[in-house]
Amino acid sequence: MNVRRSRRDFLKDVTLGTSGVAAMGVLGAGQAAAAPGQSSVSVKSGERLTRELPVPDTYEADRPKQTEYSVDVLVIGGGYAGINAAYSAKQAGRNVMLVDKGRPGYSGQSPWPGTFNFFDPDLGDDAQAFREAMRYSAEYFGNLDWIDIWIRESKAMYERIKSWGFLDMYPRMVETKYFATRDYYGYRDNVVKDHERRPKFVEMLDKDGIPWLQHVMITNVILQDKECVGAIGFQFTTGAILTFHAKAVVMAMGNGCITPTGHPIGDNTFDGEYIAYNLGLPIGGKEFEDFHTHQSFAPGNNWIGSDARFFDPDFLCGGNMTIDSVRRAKQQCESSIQKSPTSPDGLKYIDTVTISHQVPTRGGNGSPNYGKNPKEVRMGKAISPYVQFDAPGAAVGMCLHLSSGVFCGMDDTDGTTGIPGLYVAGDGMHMTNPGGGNYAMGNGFTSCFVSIEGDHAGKSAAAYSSKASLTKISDENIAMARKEIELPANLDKGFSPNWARDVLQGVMAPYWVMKNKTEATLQAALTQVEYMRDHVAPRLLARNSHGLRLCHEMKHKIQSCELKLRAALARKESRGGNFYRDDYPRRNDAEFLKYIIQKKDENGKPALNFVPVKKEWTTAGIPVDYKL
Amino acid sequence: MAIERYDLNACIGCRNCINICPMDVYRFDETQNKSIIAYPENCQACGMCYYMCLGGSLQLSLHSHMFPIVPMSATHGIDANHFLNAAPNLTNIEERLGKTGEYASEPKDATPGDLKNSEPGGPGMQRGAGGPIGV
Repeated sequence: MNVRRSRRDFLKDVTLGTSGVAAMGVLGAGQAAAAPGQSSVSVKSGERLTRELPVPDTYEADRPKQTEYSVDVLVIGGGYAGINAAYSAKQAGRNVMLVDKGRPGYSGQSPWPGTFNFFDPDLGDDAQAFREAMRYSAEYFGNLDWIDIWIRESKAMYERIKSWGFLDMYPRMVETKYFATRDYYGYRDNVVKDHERRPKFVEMLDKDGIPWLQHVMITNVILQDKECVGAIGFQFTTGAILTFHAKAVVMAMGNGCITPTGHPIGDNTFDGEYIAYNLGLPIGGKEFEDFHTHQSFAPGNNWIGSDARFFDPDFLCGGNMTIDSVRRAKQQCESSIQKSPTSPDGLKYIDTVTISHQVPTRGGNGSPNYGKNPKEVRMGKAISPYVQFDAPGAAVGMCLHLSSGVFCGMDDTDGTTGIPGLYVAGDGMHMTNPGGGNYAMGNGFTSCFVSIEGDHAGKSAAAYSSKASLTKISDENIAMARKEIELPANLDKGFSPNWARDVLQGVMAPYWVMKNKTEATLQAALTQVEYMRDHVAPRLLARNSHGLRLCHEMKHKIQSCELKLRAALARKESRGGNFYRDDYPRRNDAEFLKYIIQKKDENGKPALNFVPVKKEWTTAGIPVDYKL
Repeated sequence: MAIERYDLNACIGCRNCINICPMDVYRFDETQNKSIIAYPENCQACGMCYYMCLGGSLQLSLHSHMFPIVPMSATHGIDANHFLNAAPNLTNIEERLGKTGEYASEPKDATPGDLKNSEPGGPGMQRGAGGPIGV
């Protein structure tokens, strides 16, 4: 990569070089570097070395041996959706490759589920009861076709994931002696041991012969003659620009949020949504907010209150879903999404100022096991004794789980985008929308559900690729993508992407934009975001490949915020806690029992469409026995 | 809040941190066989590198890149110094909960790591001062 070096950069290197000499001196005089594999180091007090060595621009050990690949199916993203897409396509006998912006198992949201939910009629689950619980909690515009798919397929998916070792059970940290002193290493080495699920993502890929690359950010999915022919991106640890010729592509690129430090899914930056929108695909569900909540005394700080939880197993939860337990779930729903049976339209008025000042509670702390079946394996656990879930809004700008992404049509069941050879799967990428305007059906749904989406998309991509022939991406398209990728590195002057990140956070984070929305506040935020789109995004400056990634992520985040604000402005009603308008606090089924879909028009502007939900998913046709 | 170095001498060059980090915070010195915290301003404090660090050379700090401090002070009238010096240890939370009685609703199966086991001010957030970070 051609990265122009400024004088300031040069000076920075000189400064670091000087301190590096000093640091190396200490290293040389002190203990020698330990051999790789040595797992315990005794540190005498007073001899710690807290300085850093000089920073090289790249991590050469990461550099792939080749920069061009030809495969049947390229899977972008290595979370639960991506690895299942890759696995299913490989099982279908295709030549599959997976690229991930982080490392499979550690990127996006995939390291963080605390629970895993599946449906099991053998354990007493009642499909109709679950359906009605979903219909109610989804505000009557959840996609019940996908719910039915989950009811049918989630147990098989549980068995697949379990066979990979992702669902090993071991004691929670709080149940061990290591909790009292927060001895994470003692817990890791003596309790978790090889049960740790995150490293198993790459073990699974290796075992199944699926080549994968880490630290690769895909920026362009390429169409030729209106068909998908592959993707281009770069590895931000090395600056290598990589081309993937593929008969079919599965985008499983995750959700997004706009946050500075403190939330663990910060590498989720709407990359896939940006690409899909600019390919002309319709994007839906942007207006619903996901409030992954944190303590109000430490907003945005996931380590306070949830640290031990992150190292616990991914507990099974749910279970014994009967009409009685559904009624209990309904009560929980009333609290979590501010429904009220006594209000004329079933919704409460919401005062965010009160919410933000409430004393921390334990709401949502447990992983529910609604039934009390003694044979039940899906017992769930209170995932941490810490206080959790107090003030909403840590993951600013994150779309509600499963609600947003590419709208593939009302009858879609496999993430077919309409572009031959291009499929979508997973949270933030594929608008399957089982939860409608809320995510209140309980814990542990997302990781299982996106796995099923990935499975479907992988199978469809495999089937398509078995009939398609490989078309290479043209040199012209490669050159254009390369120019676009390198642009921020070739500017002489520009803005810091970290600065832009904080500005965007400041625009989007206030509760009058995220929570209690109004026409005026949304419009004001949109004005700011449009300015950033036109004047900041094109001038983001990268000094090296690390910065290059940040610049592209910022561009993606700005576009996503624009779509989010436009969708929020268009929905002039309220739908409970995940979408609330101060100026339209009541629901309006007549006008808005619809999905809001945005698509880039011929002028490059987002055009709005309203797609009514299927009538049978609304209040029509509920069996009398199951009326909640 | 961000990752910071506890002791570079303790780094054994296992490369877990640079492989794991989703935010590209790390670089690596091949000659010295040491990791380098290159971009702490992009750390999301997910703690995965800290947890998987085989040599124990890292720690999480509240003192660097501390996004939470300002909004906390603004919305809750808590002096930032209180946060820095004492850390929001469990006792603070317990006191706050005690005032409203909501603590009484704690699920029974959450008791093994009882909040009451924690003493004021500890376990500290700095390693070597009563254990690794955790508040």
